Amino acid sequence: MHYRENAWLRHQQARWLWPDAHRWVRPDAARFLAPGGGVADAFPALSRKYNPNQPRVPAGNSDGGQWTDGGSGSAAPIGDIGFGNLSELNDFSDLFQITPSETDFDGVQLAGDPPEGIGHNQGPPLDEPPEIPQQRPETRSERMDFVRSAVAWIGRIGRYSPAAGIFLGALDQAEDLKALTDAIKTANDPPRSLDELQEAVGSTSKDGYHDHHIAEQTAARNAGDPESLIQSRDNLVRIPILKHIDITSYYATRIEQEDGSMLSPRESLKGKDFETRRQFGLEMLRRYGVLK
Amino acid sequence: MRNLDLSKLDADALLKLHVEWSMQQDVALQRANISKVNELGGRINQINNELKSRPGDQRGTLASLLSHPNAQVRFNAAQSLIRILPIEARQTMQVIADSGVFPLAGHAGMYLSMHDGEAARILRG
Repeated sequence: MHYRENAWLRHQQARWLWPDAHRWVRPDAARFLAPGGGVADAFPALSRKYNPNQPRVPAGNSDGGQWTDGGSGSAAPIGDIGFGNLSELNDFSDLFQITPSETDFDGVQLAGDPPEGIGHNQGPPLDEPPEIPQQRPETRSERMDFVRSAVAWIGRIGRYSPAAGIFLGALDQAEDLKALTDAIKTANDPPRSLDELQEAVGSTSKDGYHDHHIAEQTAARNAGDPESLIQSRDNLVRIPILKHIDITSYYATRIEQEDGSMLSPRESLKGKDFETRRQFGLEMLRRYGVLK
Repeated sequence: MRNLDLSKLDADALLKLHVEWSMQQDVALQRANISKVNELGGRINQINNELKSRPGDQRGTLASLLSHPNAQVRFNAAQSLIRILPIEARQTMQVIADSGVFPLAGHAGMYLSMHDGEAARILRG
């Protein structure tokens, strides 16, 4: 991937991190990590703010170990917002703590601030999620437009980013859009092994997925292949709906041939035996990011 | 549009049509409207054949489209140029295939596979 695209993707994911997330890391976080590992290594996104040499409240004090500003004579902890004795929470807090350990802001970074080199005509514009329709769009084109824009946006910001979670959560509330939501949720599935794709076939249907014939069903029937072969486990995989649509569409898409004529893959495969068509189908699954 | 006589247009006008139809094809592909994709693909193919038929084979003029901001335009230009500028066309196609932006990434991957990759081997038997 191009360096700039990489930087842009990193930025899109970083936009949804709290700019002051470092304040929620316990001062003694290093003791939870493997020997030799540092907090900055474990949380590279926070390393800009993390300084292992920052002064701490001495041991023996009730706030011992917490960061201080180091500037006053008495080592008072920063971020004590007076909730009283919260020591019983220590057992549950592990690496993170409820109260911030630092309250100063040395420069304000807004979540949407672009990093150097992005924006201002130096990169793609900042990205917003697509608007969720109030009701199911009437035409197929409108539905596809919404699904594609949502899938592309999630692909850019990361399937497991908080923003994607919020967006999908909002979509879940719209009953009218359920089929579209299911297609959006599965479209960015990572490639899987053939065994994994075949495993689910035959069980109850799963939202967002279609059972797909590796060697096309209709072409196989037209060729006189037996139903036992067409519907066999070897010829069926469960794949995301959108990939199913894209692959099926590709079979019918006419492509310029060496002699200048136009021929679809379906036409190119006419007259080939079942195994050849199945091998071709597996290659398509790989190229469409479904099969590892 | 059907009565448009491509032979009367200069190379610049043909390039503009190539871009316009490719961008319409992009929308059709996103919507999985394959009859429209094929109709536009046929028209773009006519542009290629027209450029090819001109003195000295003028398809090379499409090279400027390999850096067009729209991926479908780049894809179609690369497809038209694969035999006369194979390295540049192939690089362009590979970048689209690696982009992870589907369905065009899948189309580009399959194009390369059918050109001289695994799918070509499968089809040859």
